[in-house]
Amino acid sequence: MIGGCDLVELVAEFGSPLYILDEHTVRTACRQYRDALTRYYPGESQPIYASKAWNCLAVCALVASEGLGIDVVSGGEFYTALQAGVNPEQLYLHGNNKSSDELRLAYDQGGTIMVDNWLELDLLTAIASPDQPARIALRLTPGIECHTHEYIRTGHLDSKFGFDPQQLPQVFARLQQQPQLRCVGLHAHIGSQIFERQPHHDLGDVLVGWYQQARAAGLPITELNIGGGLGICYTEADDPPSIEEWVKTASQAIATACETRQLPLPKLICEPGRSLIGTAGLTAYTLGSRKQVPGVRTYVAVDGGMSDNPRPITYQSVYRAAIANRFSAPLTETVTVAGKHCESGDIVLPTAELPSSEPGDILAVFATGAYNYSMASNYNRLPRPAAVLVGGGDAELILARETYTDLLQYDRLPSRLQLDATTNR
Amino acid sequence: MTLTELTAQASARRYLSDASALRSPNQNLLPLTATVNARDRW
Ligand SMILES: Cc1ncc(COP(=O)(O)O)c(C=O)c1O
Repeated sequence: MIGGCDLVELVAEFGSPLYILDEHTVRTACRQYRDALTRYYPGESQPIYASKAWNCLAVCALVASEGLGIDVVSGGEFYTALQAGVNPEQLYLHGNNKSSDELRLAYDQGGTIMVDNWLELDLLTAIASPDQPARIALRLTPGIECHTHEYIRTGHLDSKFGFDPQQLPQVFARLQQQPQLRCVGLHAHIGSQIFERQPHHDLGDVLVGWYQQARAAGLPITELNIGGGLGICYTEADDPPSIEEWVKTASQAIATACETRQLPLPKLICEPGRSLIGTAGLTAYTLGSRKQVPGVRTYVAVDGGMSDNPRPITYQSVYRAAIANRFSAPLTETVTVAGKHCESGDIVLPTAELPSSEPGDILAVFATGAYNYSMASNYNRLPRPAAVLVGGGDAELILARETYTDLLQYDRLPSRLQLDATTNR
Repeated sequence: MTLTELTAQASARRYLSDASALRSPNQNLLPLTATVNARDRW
């Protein structure tokens, strides 16, 4: 049962595969970020949700109702958040190659633009007017990179994102001459699925160093944004710090660095994605065919795969799963759970310990709330699954299941290619 | 109860045991509201 709803009944009602999102878990994560910032950071603060993890109307509205701002990385994500009713002043537009149209949309609506490069400075200078300057922050590459347990600090980072900090004097000089641009913040994001706390401690220090330089250059910086990155449990072996511990580390690093350098406390912003929504989600699949390769492995196939969750084939990500209708049955076999796509690498779980199962059983894969729906495709022309939001025993549809008709919505068949029904030529 | 059954129960419990609102959601494998259905209790 999730959110008071029986998973098997959810599939019977809404079909399979099905994304299931638990409202209470998302709200709890939002509150933990907000409360921890208030507790450990003596200045103003705000968490904003990195909606690339799962962007749709319901998720944007849910997160915004908890007082969080929203980080978007495209015109499409921006538009979705707007349509969800999110106050545009709570939107932060990211991206390393924003188009003029995307910049204009964010500017016209009064969102904050996280400027990534010189071209964006040029484009925005042309779009914005001095009477209504664009609200911007600068994204910088701090020479700190971290993924799970790999923590690297280098002088120069090979990254497509952000300005090189060595260019800061030139960027500041340029901003001084540009009344169309009001630069209020500095930002850095150092990686994702991070289990260590040291990287964000170090990042706090680096950000405050830049903050000092910016103030010395006369820029009205009032916000420091430490990005996202806190990891989650995909398996029982994963051991990330809690939201509170992570926020405490970053908050104290920034507060201490500001005190040491005798700087006023800026507003502290963080941008969690995965840790805000990852473990609130599950995917339910229906088991189908089974193939035994003697002495090697047994494949059990599900009715989805790399189109609804591209993380295993893209990043070799590991998940845990259980058979929902046999949750407490003894685990009697080790199988490989395969997807249904025409791709040998389309494996949902390389090894899963499961009870004996049969076609029609419901497999629940855990922790699929982040970077699953948002990275989904129609590969092999599979319609995307539906998604439901569960809580208090109720389930509400938040994404309708795509249909074959939806798949053809943007197909156009030039008349000269139309086949004759009788000759088929 | 067989050892396998005990292991299975321990395994199901392991996924669920920590799903409490007191923990940070990112430290659980399952949503905080996950429980075992009455018809599927150990
Ligand atoms: C700029 C930025 N902020 C926040 C995030 C969210 O990261 P996470 O989901 O690891 O919290 C990302 C993820 O790639 C990002 O690029």
